[in-house]
Amino acid sequence: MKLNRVIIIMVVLFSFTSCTDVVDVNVPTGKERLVIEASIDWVKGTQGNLQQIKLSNSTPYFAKNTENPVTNAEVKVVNTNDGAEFVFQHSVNGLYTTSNFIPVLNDSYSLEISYNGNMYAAEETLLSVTEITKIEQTSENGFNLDDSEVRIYFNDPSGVENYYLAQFKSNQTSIPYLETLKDEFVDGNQNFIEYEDSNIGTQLNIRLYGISETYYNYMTLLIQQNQSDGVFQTIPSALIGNCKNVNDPKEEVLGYFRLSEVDKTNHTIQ
Amino acid sequence: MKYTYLILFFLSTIVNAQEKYSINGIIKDVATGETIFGASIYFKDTSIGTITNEYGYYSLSAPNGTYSLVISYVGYNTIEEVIVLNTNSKRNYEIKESALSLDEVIISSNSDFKETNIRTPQMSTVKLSTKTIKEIPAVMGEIDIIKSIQLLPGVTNAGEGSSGFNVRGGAEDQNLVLLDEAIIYNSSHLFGFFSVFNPDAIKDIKLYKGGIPSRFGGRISSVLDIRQKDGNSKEFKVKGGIGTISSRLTFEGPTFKDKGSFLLSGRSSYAHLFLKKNKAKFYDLNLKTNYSFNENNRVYLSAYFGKDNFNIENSFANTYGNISANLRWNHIFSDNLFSNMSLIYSKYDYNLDINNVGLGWVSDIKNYNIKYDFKYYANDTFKFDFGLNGIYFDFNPGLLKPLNENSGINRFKLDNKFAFESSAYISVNHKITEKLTSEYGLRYSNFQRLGKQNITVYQDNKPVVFNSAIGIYEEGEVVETINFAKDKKIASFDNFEPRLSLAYQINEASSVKASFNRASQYLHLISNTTSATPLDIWAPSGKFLKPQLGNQYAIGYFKNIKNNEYSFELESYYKTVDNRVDYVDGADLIGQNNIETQVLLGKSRAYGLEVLLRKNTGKLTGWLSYTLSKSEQKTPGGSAGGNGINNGDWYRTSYDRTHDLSLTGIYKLNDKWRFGTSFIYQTGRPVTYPNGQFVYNGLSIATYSGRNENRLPAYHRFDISATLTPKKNKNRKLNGEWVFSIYNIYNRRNATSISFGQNDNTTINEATRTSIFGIVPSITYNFKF
Repeated sequence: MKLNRVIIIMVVLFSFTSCTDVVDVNVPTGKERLVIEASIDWVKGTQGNLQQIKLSNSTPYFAKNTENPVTNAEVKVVNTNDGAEFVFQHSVNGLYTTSNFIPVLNDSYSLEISYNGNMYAAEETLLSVTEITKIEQTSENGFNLDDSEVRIYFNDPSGVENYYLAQFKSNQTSIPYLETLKDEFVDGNQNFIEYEDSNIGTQLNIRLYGISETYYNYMTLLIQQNQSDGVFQTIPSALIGNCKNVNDPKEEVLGYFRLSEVDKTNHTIQ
Repeated sequence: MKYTYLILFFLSTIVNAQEKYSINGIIKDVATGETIFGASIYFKDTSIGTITNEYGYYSLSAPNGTYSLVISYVGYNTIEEVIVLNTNSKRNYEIKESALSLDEVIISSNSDFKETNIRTPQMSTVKLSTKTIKEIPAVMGEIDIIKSIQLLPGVTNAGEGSSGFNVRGGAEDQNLVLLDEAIIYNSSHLFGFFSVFNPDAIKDIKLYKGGIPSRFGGRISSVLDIRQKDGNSKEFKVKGGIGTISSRLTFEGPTFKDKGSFLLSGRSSYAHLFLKKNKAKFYDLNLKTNYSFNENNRVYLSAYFGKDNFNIENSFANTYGNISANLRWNHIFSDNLFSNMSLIYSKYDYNLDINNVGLGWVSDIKNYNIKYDFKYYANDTFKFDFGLNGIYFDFNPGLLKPLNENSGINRFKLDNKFAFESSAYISVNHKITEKLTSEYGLRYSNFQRLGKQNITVYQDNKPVVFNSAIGIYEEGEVVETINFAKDKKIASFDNFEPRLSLAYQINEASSVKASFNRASQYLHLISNTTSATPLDIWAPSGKFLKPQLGNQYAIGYFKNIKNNEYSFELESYYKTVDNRVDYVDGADLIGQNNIETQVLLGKSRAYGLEVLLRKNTGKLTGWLSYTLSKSEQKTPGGSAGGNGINNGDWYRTSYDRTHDLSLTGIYKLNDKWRFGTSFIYQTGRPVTYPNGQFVYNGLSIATYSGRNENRLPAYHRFDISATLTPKKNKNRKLNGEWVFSIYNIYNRRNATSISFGQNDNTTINEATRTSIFGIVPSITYNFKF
């Protein structure tokens, strides 16, 4: 009797109590650094003459107000193939704009910024992007079956090294979703980049950028650092962009100067 | 007067010229027939004695005469027998487990003074029996060998949720974990929650933290030598346990007409029954069998098979596991020459399927090992260990494959890598004087990196180059790839590894020890996360990845107080390692065929002070262990240029723990109830915290301070357990006990990691702490019949 009872007893009393909590942590405060957000986007089907560059300074990590604009710099972009110069004027809040930019595919451009007695420079090439062929929404795949996946499909040009950046901006949040892709393992194939969301009615503004290998490395690392999570954290690394202080090359300049052709589309989650 | 001296002189020469005879044999447990490793056997009132080896074998020689032979081992009754030594003879003994459990010594180091006069020079080692480990409270009622060794000084881990452990400020890949001599590459289940060792199948565990004997090699920081039970050779037994996360069942008994025995042990989890859409499960299977041809020949076959399985809503499936097998032959050549030959196979594999991307990833490491070890008990002053070892490695760093037609993945295979590591060693245990014993030896190791493989040749022979224009490390330019045919040598290394240990006995109850050991390690564990996870890849040394070379110096003081009621150990160590690999910022390791383009070579150093105070007898037993230490590394740019990591300055390794304190207590109230408690405190793990933020592309991006300059909050927890053994009815075949335990009784949320990011709603930055275990109560029922 006792033997049977004892063998049959199976006590299940476990509470898998793992969890995440927001906590207060003291972090050090480093010095203020210049941030150059110089993203020249040439949207397919447009002239690409209206362009904007944002300059700001870094802030302490937990600062609630992240606005720290740089308003007194001089900004210029030069096409090094044909010498054309484009001056950007400060409009408001650290935004420098121009309305006469001439984008030329595969031309190389240089950025020159004069600020605080220093000269900052960078160089990049304007790369093309293949077009988005279709958008699909499914809910079969993904980690969470309640979420819908929105996929943009595109055909990667075969035999050429291609790098992509996809941006999904939802009207529900001001934080965009970014993902990079390189064609090393998928050259020449039909590819997709996917975004997950669960809210029906959400409007998505989607963009696909053609980028350089170095910018791909920069953005992949940036995304990995930004979305690094929980138990499998990667090693924090400094994100070193392509902008340099010509007078003091040791200065840490944040941000990047990139030029890309962009294909864009919209989608509403059903 | 002169004549007296002359007569004495002649007498002494006669005594020295007397014949020496030896006795040898195997010491076993009388109830189970299991061989006893580490039993002391000596001639009373002399300094002649030894300790049984891993197979229970001993050999003693002494001059012609009559002696009182004593055999003792912790937890067992001591045997004393008068023998007349006038011929070489074989004497096997069987000793009986002590019924006086109150006098049980919980853990034994190898310095047992009260009972014997053995002054072993072995230091920095700990030997644990599974009986001890069962007393320590455990996570969800599961006894865990890896967690138990962390209660001892000098051993820590990277936190809950990580596999592996760290010894004396050394990395996770620097521990040689052996299960019956087979290398185990990943010693954990469920990403570090449990170890792969089923305690019902394990007999002995010995951890060498320093002073590593010459017969071990291949890893720098430690050797965890785990021996399976042989199987009860006297009668058939079944035992097992039913717990809240997993259950175990073991069968053992005599076979081959009582000339051998077998052991079959299994353990499986059933968490997958309760997690609905997600599945997490593991199982282990241990098998051992042996057969004695005659008194001098015994053959063993051991095997282990284990697997972990994760499945998250069918979109993500991950399996990994170890397989090992060992065929061994113990041969006793003569009265004082023992040998063991082993043929070993082991494999570790890892599979990952990500269904929504259509990606399948397979990687594994296999090794084939042959070793031949000898122990020669020349006389009472000299004992020799010598042997040979050869291991052939086959690394498959990864195969990427499409899972279905819709997958965008192209099939891509990372090159298989091959290597052959061989070694020869000799070691002498030398009793220099009555008080001074030494063990010194030399190990010679040789590593050949072999084809068949395509090897990349870089511009200027630099796989990593510092790009000063943008201040980052980039892959070197590929000039060509050379094809090396099968077994053709790509690179070769060899090293001499001297080992030295000394013990000086100050008096009956105390001694001072010192050791030096040099070790080389030809394999590296490549990981891009701060703790070892199964996704990490083992890579062999080659043209660019040089072997790690380590030196460790240690000194210690050991004392038994009040007739071994208490014991005190104090040890201090200093360790340096050359060719310690670290990854450049932003290293890209997934699918990386050329790891040398992502790493820089540097060095590391660690030093510390370990204190262990034990109470060995009485109703309350236990120990207090404290380690004060520092572990750091330095990775300069080297031939790649640039400053290296953290500007080429020393930075803390991620396993640096300034304070590590454990307090373990075991209280035997009466025959029915016993209680166990343990308290652990560890300084938080070094991490890199952000020191500012900037806005880019609508995201808030963190900028960071120096590598590992900050720390997570301190880790501490308190566990308790109570074991109820209902009154045993002698006529009843079934014996059982209930184990109730509570892990982390005050529910401290110990941070496994702290991540930083924007709050999705407010977009303001916040820090999020991930912790794995809060308070976890559990019940286990163990039975045997």
